[in-house]
Amino acid sequence: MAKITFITTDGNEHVLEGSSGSLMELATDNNIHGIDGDCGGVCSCATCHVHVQADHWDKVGPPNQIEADMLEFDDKVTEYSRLACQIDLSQEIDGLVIHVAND
Amino acid sequence: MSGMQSEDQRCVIIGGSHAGVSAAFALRKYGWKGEIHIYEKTTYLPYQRPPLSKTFFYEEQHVDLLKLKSADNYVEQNIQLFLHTAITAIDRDSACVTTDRGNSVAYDYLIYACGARALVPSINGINHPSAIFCVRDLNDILRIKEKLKTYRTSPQALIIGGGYIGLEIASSLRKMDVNVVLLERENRLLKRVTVKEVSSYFDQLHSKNKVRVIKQKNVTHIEKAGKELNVFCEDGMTFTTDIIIVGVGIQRNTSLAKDAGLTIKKGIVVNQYCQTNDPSIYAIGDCAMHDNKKYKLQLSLESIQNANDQAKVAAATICGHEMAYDPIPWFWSDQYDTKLQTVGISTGYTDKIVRQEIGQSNSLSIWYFRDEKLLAVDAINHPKAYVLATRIIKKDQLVNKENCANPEIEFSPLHMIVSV
Repeated sequence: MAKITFITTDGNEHVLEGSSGSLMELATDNNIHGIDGDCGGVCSCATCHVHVQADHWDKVGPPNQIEADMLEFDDKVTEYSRLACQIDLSQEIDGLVIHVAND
Repeated sequence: MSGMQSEDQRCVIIGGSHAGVSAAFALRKYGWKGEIHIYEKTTYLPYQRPPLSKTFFYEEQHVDLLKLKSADNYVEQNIQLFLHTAITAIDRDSACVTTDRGNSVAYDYLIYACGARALVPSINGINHPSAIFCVRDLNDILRIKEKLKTYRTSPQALIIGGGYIGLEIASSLRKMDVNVVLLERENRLLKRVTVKEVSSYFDQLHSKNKVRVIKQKNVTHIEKAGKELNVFCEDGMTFTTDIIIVGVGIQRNTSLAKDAGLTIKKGIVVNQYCQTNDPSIYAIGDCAMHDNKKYKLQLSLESIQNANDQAKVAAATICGHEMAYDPIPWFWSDQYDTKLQTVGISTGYTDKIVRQEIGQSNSLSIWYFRDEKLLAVDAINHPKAYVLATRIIKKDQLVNKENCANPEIEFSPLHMIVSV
């Protein structure tokens, strides 16, 4: 079981728990605004863009190649950008805090 | 009109599709306080369709993984989901729908999200349900997977239709080590949807993966021969195969709407708010046809983007918010290790640029212009081109065509966009 905090663009914090699937799925299962996951998690749409809290970056690490390419020219990219569909839920990311990039 | 709403009101959604489910959840997001009913004729919890021809096809995945929302989600959001319940009629005068169980359900707003079904071409002998399959819904895929499991050695499959569905199925079948022949009626693959460069890329990709791609083959009839099927083409060529998979297009499910007197052209005609000619009835997703202001075209789009975005617009409008449907359409297809991403609509382009990245032979982008205006981009293994093109189209920026056409120039916003 991993506990993840999503902070949406309105500043609200949503603490969710999950043990399998991706962060995108956890967010869409709980109707977190700003994470749509339109393509279902295949890195095709970038509607699950998140910013990982800086001091938690090492827990998730850098994006894979396609993901990095999807993010590089995104208007809301930061050095802590990831696509939530590419981050698997596991014990290792327990306590992670992420900021949802889109409204 | 919309805006005033109370707990006494009811929004009825026909179809537990991507569009229908998105609309239900969007209604809650935008503040709908009344009842929400979704009527879905199949027994499955509403599911995602894109994986059906891809990962779900070639991997051993549980059906649960496909769900759009969990059963709990519907309960939490107070959305009443009626599975295995078809709507058989819409009575606009009394504002109610009739279910196949004989119930009459009143609506204040109706959202029509019935999607489309696979087109079955008129080929003599095509009716052998044990060996000839369409690719549209979960049942189709489950039946194909069951059938494939009955073979001890690699079976032979024949695909009719070289569009995206046919090609994705070919890719999935090859991953399962099934022998594949693909017959296309036109002189190139994907002819209806893209240019020859993209067609040629996918032709080579499939040939490299040992799909026998044969073009200009018009199937005229099919005969059963023992456990096999013989497929006859107009030019006399014949093929013997174990199974046939047909992917030649769709038919929009508009009959209920037609019977109710709604205006239908290619799809159900809707305005920029996804409203039909009856202001209390909305149509969204594959079955709708909208007037696209950006591209000045009447479009019926079969895509996730269209389903989800129209759902949001319909829901927002019903809840009294100002939101018009003015999309930049996007689309993707995954085949083998290739990802195609398309943004925009290339219809009516006057010139195009084909950009092949140096040192990345798989990485290709095709830029479609009407004079100076960028209309669309097909990006093959080139997510950066897809993202940048989306940005350019959204902001109505100008592409530096000279740089775009020169792969020696680094692919970056600085070089690709004309600064003003």
